[in-house]
Amino acid sequence: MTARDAAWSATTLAAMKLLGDQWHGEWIQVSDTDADQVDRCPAQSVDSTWPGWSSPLAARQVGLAALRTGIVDPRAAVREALGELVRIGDADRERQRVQDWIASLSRAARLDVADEAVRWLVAWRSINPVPQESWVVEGGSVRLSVGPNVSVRAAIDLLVKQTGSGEYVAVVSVSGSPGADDDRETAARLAAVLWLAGRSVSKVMVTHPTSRTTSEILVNLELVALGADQLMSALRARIDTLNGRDIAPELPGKHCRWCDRLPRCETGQQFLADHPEFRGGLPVTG
Amino acid sequence: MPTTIGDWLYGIDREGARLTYDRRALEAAAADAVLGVPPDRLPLRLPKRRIESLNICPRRAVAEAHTPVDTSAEAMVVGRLVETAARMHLWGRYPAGDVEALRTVLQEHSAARQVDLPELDHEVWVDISERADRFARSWSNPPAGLDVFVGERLSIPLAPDAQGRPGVVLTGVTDISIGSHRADAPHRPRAVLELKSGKMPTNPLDEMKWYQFVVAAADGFAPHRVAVWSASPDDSSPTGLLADTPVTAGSLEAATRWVCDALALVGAIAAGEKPPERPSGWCRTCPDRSRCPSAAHGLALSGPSSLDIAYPDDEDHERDNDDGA
Repeated sequence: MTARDAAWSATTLAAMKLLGDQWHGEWIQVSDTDADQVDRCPAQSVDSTWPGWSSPLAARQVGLAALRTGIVDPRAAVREALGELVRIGDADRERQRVQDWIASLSRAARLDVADEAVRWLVAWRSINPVPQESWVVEGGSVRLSVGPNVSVRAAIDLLVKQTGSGEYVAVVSVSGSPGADDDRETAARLAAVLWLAGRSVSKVMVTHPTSRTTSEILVNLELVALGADQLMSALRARIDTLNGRDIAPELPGKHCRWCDRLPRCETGQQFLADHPEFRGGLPVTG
Repeated sequence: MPTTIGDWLYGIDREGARLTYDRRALEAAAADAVLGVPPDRLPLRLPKRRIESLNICPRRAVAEAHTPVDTSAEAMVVGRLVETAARMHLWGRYPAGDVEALRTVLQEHSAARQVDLPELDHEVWVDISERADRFARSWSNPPAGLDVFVGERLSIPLAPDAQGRPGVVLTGVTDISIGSHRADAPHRPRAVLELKSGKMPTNPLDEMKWYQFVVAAADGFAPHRVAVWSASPDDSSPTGLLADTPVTAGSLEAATRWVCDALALVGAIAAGEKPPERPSGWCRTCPDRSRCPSAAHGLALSGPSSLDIAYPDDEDHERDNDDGA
């Protein structure tokens, strides 16, 4: 088990703040998802469009709230969580956005959100550890201020520790297919934010409910340094672009097919014109 | 032989041990399938519809991949709405037979999902309501204490590369599954019910093969029974039609072979081989029938005159991206 390295955290956070202090406009947030995208295509990382809430997108937020109620029956847990979400305001901007959206919905629409959240919760429980009484369970997202108007955020499902222990285990579920390197990078970004935020996390469990698979990744300095590098790249790309100092490069690839920038990205359009598409192994064009 | 879903539900073994699934044949077939496939064409991603098409005729599967599916076509929209209405009925979200109430909940449901619903004539809403009512009548009087789950997404990653990324991903969504989702015994379906908003598929055994396979391969344990319910609006039955099969070691093996056959075909095509042609009665509905030299043989045979999938389910239209996000 590797204890959190306070010196590394202090110097890395200082480096991030040097960047964060360079932005004085509206509040911005760089997420672990942005950091995931930045290596693939910096332009996509700094310029993706929020599609707005929908029941499938809100399912994770509501499902996590349901998980934390401690109620065993999934439908009852989600009902309780939805009630709480609508009744109680929240300082967390992300959760407040989903709360506002849910509050604006009709009854039938709200029930659809509940259905999706139940689906999320049951899938989550099919693979993840059931919280024990001896655990201290904390809320998901961790946010780190790195400038007057700049935050870095990691979306974690649960942060748990044995009662009396100082070491946390972070649990995160992802929807894609498992891949050892991808899982390690996911863990690296999350662990980096946690260490920088002062939480001593020793293990990240990256779970894939649809395929019933789990990777347990031990946290060490090498891992958090990898995550911090990706977060710094995303932060730099965003702030330099916002300040007009640089234009985040467009790196084309298979990801162009699903990128919301494609209609205004000539690089991506050209790439797709030059590369015949294979869908699941079958040729689609060419 | 049950004729309604309610009767079928009474026949489900809710306690007995489930068959364990041996993945070795599947893993070997997946490993063989990716040999020779350029990395940028991986992963081979196979939902149910693609497996069906590959086994009917590989050239047809390629032609279908070329042909965009218009998900806004009225038949598709109706199919989607009927299946949604059926699921909503499970939770008593609208009074059966009330067309206006059904229209309102379906519109609000679509709004919550940011799905644009096209204008539909009143007669279309009546049709949707009548098909959904057939489901409601078929589902009536189920046993007490059923643990019902809808829309479970499953994926089976196979043939990982050196970085652990899968070379093959099989994906499926179960419409309705009956099982247990207590916290200490996560949902493990004991029976799976596939909904069809139109007529009964020409070969419902393909559906049954797929769902017993996908649950068994994802879970490691097979369900006891699999059934397909269709609204069958042209049939006189007020409860639609039901086809059901028990899951046995033999049926599971046959289902695995069916998937492995498709894997071998898609692997060969992705590696650059010309897709073979298998003329049959299915040529009538093939997008390539006017260009395929073998189609004349198939067109001379009897076969389905229209696609018997009223709504090719959402699993077929999921993004085919690498991470499935």
